[in-house]
Amino acid sequence: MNAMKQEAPERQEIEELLPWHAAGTLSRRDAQRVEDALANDPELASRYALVREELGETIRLNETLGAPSARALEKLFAKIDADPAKDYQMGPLGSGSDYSAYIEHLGLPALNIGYGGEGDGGGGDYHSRYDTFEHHSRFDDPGFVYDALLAKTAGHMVLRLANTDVPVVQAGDFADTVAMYLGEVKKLADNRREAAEVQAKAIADHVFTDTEDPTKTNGTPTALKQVPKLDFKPMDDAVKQLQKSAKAYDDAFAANAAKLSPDARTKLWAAIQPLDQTLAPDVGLPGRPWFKNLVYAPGRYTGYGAKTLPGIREAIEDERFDDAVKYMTLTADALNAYSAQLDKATAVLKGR
Amino acid sequence: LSVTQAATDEVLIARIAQGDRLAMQVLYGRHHVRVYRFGLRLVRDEQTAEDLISEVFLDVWRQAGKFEGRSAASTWMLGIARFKALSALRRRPEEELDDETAEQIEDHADDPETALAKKDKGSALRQCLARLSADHREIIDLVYYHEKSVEEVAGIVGIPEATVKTRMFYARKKLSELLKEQGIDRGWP
Repeated sequence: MNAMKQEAPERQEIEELLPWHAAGTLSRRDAQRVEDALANDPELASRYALVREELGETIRLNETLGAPSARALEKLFAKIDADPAKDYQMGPLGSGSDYSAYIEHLGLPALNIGYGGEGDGGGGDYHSRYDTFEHHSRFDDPGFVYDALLAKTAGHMVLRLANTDVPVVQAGDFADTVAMYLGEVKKLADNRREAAEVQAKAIADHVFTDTEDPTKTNGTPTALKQVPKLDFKPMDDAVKQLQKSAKAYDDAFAANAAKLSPDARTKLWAAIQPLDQTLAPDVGLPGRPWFKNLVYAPGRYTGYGAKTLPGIREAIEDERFDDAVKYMTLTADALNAYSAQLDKATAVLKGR
Repeated sequence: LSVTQAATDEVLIARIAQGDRLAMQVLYGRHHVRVYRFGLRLVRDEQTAEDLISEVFLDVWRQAGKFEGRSAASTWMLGIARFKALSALRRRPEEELDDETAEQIEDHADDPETALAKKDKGSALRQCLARLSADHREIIDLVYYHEKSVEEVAGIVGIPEATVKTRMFYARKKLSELLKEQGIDRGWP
């Protein structure tokens, strides 16, 4: 403690930064401060030499620690293969001529599958002059290994879905995913609100005019629209209910699905088949009513990329706060309809 | 263009979230040695450290979808490794005891190790680095070897940035004291 107390506060602060300066992990500004101090303070410079010595020996010590055996990797993949939590996460669907009409217009479940990983599949030739049989067969998939595998995978999935006695639905995963989307949207609103407040304060304090470069004509930025406090309660309640209904369905399914009578199975299918269409009520998104799904849509400005909870999210992004409030209710209604439909299926599973 | 050349850690983690085992292998290849060494310095047992890395990377496999990229992937993994290491130490109370006793060992001026250390300041420094407390070893490693910034260390260890700086200062001070006990006076503090 004494060593620190004896130093002037600023020198002390600089001295504390020496290890990070030696490791090269300081910001440019801090690095410059340290450099300046070192140039003018021989005592500090001699302490910096000690720091560099420590750095060198710490690296040497760590380098002598060796590496784990190859068994560690084998063990890891054995664990991965045996992992009960193993699941393939699916990203949200955005724009795609193969599936947009199904999921976004009609509210029918859709899946887009593919193999990639080795140079991102197509490697950038999609819709270019290289999008040819010659290029594909020589470079993208020589021997058509992936093409055949993909066809088999899709075939298996279709057979699995077509031949199943009971519906294949993991309701809990969907509910958790929607909860995650809601969290993102709330954070978006908070971040936007904070940015607008910080900017408004900077404008009021003349920060932009005071720091203006007179040789440039930037001027003060256009004020960001203030973001009102949005009432997320309808969505909070709807997501809570969704998670509750989803858990009840998954539990009832695990307990009873295998022992349903043919009649009950028919009723279960009747309850599940219109399930996803509840997410696409006949309202449509603002300015593009053809897109009806209130959980998934392509972003208006994101090309193929998806926007989730688009009615709310894009309204916040575009500063259309009346729309945000309106679609909060509409989206919550859609989720509640989904939960109610799930509850019907749960009732069938429980023999009611 | 192969994955190893092209993909950033963030891209690899996004692929891992989709169940891409090749991406998992690449990420493992890139980081396992450092994660192992970080763990080994904390738990001081090679077998435990080896078990630790498979646990860390299994977590990466499971949690990849939740990685938000707010910190570097290595920072995220070191944070997981630290958590697992501390849990492993809690399961083995004798390890913690080792830790404390190591810290308290009084040096005997004439033992052969010390005599040798005096000849080689570097090796003396390395010996003293090994004798620091777990908190001090950890911060020194994170700053010097893993090249983590003040903010990143704060995130991994879970302490405020100001505490990171003072802890590092005291870790270094302790190092000087240990060296002095070995007869090496660095002239600081």
